[in-house]
Amino acid sequence: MNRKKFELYMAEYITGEMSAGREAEFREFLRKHALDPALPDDYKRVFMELDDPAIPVPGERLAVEFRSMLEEAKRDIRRKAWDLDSRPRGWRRLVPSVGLPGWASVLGLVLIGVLIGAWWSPFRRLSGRWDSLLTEVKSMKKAVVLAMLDNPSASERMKAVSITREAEDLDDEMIQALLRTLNSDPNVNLRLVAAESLVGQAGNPAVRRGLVDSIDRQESPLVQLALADILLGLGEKSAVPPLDRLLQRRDIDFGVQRRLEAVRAQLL
Amino acid sequence: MMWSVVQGDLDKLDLLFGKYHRVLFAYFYRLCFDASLSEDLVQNVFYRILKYRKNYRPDGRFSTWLFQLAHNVRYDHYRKNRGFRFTNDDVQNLEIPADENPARVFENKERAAVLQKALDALTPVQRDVIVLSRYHGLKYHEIAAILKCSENTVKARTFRAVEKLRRIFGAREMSDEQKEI
Repeated sequence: MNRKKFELYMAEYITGEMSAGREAEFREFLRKHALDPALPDDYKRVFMELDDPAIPVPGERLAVEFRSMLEEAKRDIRRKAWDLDSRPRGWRRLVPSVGLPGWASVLGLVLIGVLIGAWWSPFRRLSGRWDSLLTEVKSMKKAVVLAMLDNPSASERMKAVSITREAEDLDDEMIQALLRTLNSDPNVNLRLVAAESLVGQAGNPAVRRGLVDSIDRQESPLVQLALADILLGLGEKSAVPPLDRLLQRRDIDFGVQRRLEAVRAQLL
Repeated sequence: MMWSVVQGDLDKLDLLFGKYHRVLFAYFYRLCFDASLSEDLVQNVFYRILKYRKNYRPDGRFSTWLFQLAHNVRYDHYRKNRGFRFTNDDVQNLEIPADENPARVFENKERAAVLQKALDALTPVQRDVIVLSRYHGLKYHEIAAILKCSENTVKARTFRAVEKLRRIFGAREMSDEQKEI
């Protein structure tokens, strides 16, 4: 008998992680090796009947010590206010690491310095030049963020999406990039943060359309629920048809289904 | 929430503490049956979250990362203290509530003592998989991510742990039957 195979079958059976097809295979294995067919259930009973010990409530000391540790950490950060790691968040994101984003950010800061110098310069007739330099800086920042959104590293993409959350107005190219992240990023957390960022741009009809179109393209229950709540918050009645399509899916999670039905009812 | 902590919003760590400290406490308690030690280990986990927060990557689930830290904290304690053995003190020191049936409490104490001894008979890696699968309901692929081993390794450990427990409980049942005779 293949002992290793037997152990894997038994482990899957014991914890209930065995599919119907796999169980049929397992039953055939038991029959072929003349093993007691009641054996798996016997092992499963041992596992399931393991009592859960009564867990006491943790003492107050734990919370007190944790909060004391947290306060000390916050004080440390304030003390190091001028340290590289504790520069204001917006600025820190412009200097993430070496490479294209880092160099582009440095160049952007140099250009800002030139612009400030030009503004205070007696040569005020350079104001036309000032506007074009400002446009270049904005364009460079956008290029950096777009490049980060395509970065293979989820952390870099997360930084890029986080930057867009604080922007007042995003142009069409940025909005399309965020919608692409929402619809096709492999990382669920990134999709959620992209959705939050797009909410900030909900005044733009293209954003609302994009959010509505996205809901029945999502597989993750977390993203489905987040989008449903966003669209309810926006009072977006055009979300009802895609909600209907989503509710007709066979693989929809029961908890999600109930919430989506409630959202649909409130939108109507 | 953890991503906010990484970006410097430490107040969010307080929310994470509120959400997860009891889960972590239960995890440690099921392994050592020592409430005071479990509190220390929980504190240690949150200390590491704070210290190594910049290492957090949003690629996977936060709970998997959290249990990985908890597992490492437990093993560091095990190495420093030459063993992570159960103490019987917490079980024996259970107070009897005034309205509770003493016979029932005694039976519960006895069962807890038996469970404690049975889990103590497992190797640390076997106890890990039993606690994570039986009491925390984690799937094999999640446990494999936490313990940084293959899914098949987790399955094999689980089977061998249950096999050992079956022998222990089977021997105890025989011994109880003999006492009745």
